[in-house]
Amino acid sequence: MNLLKKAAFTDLLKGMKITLKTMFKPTVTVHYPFEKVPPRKRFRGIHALKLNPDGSYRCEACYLCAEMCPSNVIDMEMTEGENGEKELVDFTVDLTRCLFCGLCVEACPRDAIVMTDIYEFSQYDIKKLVLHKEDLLELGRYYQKWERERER
Amino acid sequence: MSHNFLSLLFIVGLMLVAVPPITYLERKVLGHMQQRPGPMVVGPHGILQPLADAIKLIFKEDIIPKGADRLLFMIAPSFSVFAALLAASVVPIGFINAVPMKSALLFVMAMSAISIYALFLAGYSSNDKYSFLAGMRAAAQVLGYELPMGFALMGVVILFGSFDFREIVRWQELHGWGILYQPLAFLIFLIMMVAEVGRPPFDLPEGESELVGGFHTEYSGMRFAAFFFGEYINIIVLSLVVSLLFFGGWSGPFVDKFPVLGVIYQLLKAGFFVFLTFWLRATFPRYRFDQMLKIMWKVFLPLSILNLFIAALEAYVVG
Repeated sequence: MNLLKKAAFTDLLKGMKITLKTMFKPTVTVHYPFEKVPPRKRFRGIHALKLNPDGSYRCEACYLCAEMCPSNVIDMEMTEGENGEKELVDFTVDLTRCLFCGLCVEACPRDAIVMTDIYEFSQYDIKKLVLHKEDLLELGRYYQKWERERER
Repeated sequence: MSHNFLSLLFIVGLMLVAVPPITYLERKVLGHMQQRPGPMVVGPHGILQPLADAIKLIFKEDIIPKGADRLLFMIAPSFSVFAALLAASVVPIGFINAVPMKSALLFVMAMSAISIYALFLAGYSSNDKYSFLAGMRAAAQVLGYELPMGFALMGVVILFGSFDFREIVRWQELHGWGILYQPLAFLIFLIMMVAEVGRPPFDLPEGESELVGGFHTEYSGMRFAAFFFGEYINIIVLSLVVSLLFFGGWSGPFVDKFPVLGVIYQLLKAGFFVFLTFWLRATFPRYRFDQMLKIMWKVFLPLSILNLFIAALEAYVVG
């Protein structure tokens, strides 16, 4: 009986039946560059710096995020302001090293550094992967818009 | 004479033109069998993908590796194409018969055996151990499949009493399709055909997963494409041969009045077997080397010899 089954290729035919059936099933492909799956709510994309509603920086250059970072991604520069407070001059995020763990976001006491849902940031020039303050603030505006839309 | 020349031109042209659409269809079928759409970007539903591939392959650098046997390395792919085209030239499609030959079937067998030289020479001349292993596998595979294939065809030939495809089809028009008389030969021929063109589950010389592409590891550009032309032309030719030997070729209703219908019938019949090779590729994993040889030598060879006796008996009763 076993030999008969083998001779009639029953198992092979079963497999072929499955592939034939699958051929007429709808495909499950997402045509990526043309259509995208929106990331989840808590997705960790590239960083952004938020602004206060009055337009001042939220970041107070406390260095907690830089301390927290396991791969030394974040660096910042600051000076003393007119009234003796810390003032941010530059804030750099080196994306070539970042592993998107989100510890900097956890560490931030002012909710200044956040992570957007942007995951397409390939560049031809490696220097462009080091984000400076202006880039981060730009991303921050995008983030705040996105945040408002998400909450609605 | 001129008529023959025209049909030769037609057949060679058809074979060369048919290859890109067939590669496209293969990718589509394979894709859908794995629930993905296959090529989609170039043109509507990716229909211009073969064109893009052709442009890419033409403009690629033609690399000849250091230490390779230059002459053999350069001519090996042409074996594949020219043997396949020579085989195609004797196969009639409906009323189109480029080279009417009394021993056409034998010629097809000889030519498709030569096309394996392409793989063997490519593997030998590449100066690459993976290619060399693939060449050895190709050689061993020839020894495996040629005998059962030859014996299966011998049975068919005994029954039909001719090597000539026109005679064979005429016999089938009188007595019914060959598969009714020779189902075993059909099965063996089908499996050996898959082995002959080196498609999964018998794509041992290629072996992407273990031999980095096997015999064509070192090839690039049009030489690489030539192997694929040869492979796909071989698939078409052998599918046509299957349709001729076992499914009555161009015979069918209304062929007497409209000979063009015969061409369509035959291409449809052959098209199914081309599809079958895609289907097998989508379904089965590759056989291991020893498994393949075991199946060939221990199962199919005795079966094909047994089939020879059946065929002789049938020829005695029918003929």
